[in-house]
Amino acid sequence: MKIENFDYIFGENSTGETEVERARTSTNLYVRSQDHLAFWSPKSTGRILTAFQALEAFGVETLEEVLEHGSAIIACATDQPAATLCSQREALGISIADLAKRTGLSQADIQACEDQTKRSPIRSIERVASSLGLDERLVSFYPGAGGDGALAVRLKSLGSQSLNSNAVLALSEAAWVIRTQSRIERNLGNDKAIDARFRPSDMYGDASYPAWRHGYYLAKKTREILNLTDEEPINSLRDVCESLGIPLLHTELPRAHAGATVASDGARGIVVNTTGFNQNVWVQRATIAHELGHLLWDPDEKLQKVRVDTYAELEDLGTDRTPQDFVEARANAFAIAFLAPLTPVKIEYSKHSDSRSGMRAVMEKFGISYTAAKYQIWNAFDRCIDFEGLCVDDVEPTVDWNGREAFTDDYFPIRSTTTIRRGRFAGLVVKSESQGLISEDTACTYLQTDLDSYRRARSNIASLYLIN
Amino acid sequence: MKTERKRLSHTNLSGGGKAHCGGELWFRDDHSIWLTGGSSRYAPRTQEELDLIVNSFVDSGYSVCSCGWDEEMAGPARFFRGSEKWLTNHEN
Repeated sequence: MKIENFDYIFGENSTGETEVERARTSTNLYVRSQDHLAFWSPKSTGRILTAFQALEAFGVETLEEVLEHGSAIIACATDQPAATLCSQREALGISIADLAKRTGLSQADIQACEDQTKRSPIRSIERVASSLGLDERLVSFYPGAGGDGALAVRLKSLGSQSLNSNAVLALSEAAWVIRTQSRIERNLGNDKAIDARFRPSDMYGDASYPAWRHGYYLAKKTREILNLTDEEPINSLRDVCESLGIPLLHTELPRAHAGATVASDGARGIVVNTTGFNQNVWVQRATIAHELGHLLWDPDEKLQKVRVDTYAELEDLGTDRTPQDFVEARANAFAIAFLAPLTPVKIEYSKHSDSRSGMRAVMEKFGISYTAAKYQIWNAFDRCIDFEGLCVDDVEPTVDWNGREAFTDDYFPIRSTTTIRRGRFAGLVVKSESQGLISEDTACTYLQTDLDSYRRARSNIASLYLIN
Repeated sequence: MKTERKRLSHTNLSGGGKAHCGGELWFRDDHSIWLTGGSSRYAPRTQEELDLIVNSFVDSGYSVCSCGWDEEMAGPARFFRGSEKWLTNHEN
């Protein structure tokens, strides 16, 4: 591109040698519709994009086309985005009625988005796309819009086995949040690969070395990599996930399901069910630790694109009671040993003269549930104490533990933002918008709110999530 | 005409001066054209302005299919979507 065109495309006040540098410092705004990209004007009602967003999504040739012709055609073919939206919905096994319910659009709106003769509002198209796990920026521009076919197949398969349509859509939206969060991290210069020392292990035990024992070993190794001593409680699994660059999302799944790992666009994140036993933050910690065990140590073929775990699968804590599923047994053992290593558990329990006080002390020190503490104390004493006699009077987590792990579920400055988009994702959106990388319009849509509410909440969100 | 940009723009035609409207034409045959208001400098500012241009070509004897107006962009569409609607002045 000719250098003089930079002044028009990115504005005279933008600085830098490359188009990316100019875009990052640009205050020019663009607007996109289903079919076109143009310079923003006060009369336009489509999606407002920063110059950086426009460059990132469509490339410099498209911006040059805007300059030359007043607008650029971004629809790559007449059948786009209708064909992509329809085929992705069908690949997930979702009906138009279910998608309408999830997105809050009417069935007629969804049908219009899937009709190649119609020009639909870009906000409707984007809402459908993100619900289906697509890259909403790329609808129209690329056939498939960055969708992950293998993920869709896996979700459809889960949908036919154990998940309802809403859960399938919750997980596909989780895929969208994970891919978007990873992209924003990259653009802010925060992207980090998982430490190479977390090399996936295909050891799931044998007759002389049970899977749970290897889970214990991996938990110990994880603590070493994270510079945590055995005695140290893990105060916030959210912080652990964030330090490892792993998106941690909360959403509503069917009550029987505890959590899942979801891979999208090269990134993998953890999804935790907000209903069922996870409402107890100590159970939730076990769920997150279990999924962390999968994510850090299972090879890809074991993880697949989506791995969903039920509460029942998480109940076997460090024993070899369900040898049929060594992958789950190892992740369970990892979870409990990561949260509460055996020796410190034994020491803490032994400090107390009565069993009930000892149990409660272990729960409070390590932030683990009654069931987890019961198994881990039993294991710590080589199963030579009375298992059934291990009881406690109070199974509820302390206020401190609730605050450390669950604060974004309980409190978020914008009420309309759904749980799955709270947490670090929200902090990254605000940071990205404040640096001019994404528009206020995009930030509002990402956080499912209006401009006034966003502006009121912006500094509050920024202070909740301190992003470097 | 030779230009520095190696392509002809509306500004080359107008000499940078005032013009009512600019856009793009594709000829289906000698008597029928597809029309858009795509222009970096002289694009129609409203749907009404675009319609005036369409009507003037119709009045001059062409069958015209307009790409129409993109409300969200607040500008003339350049990508055709939907079924083609040809306007003809039958008095010609």
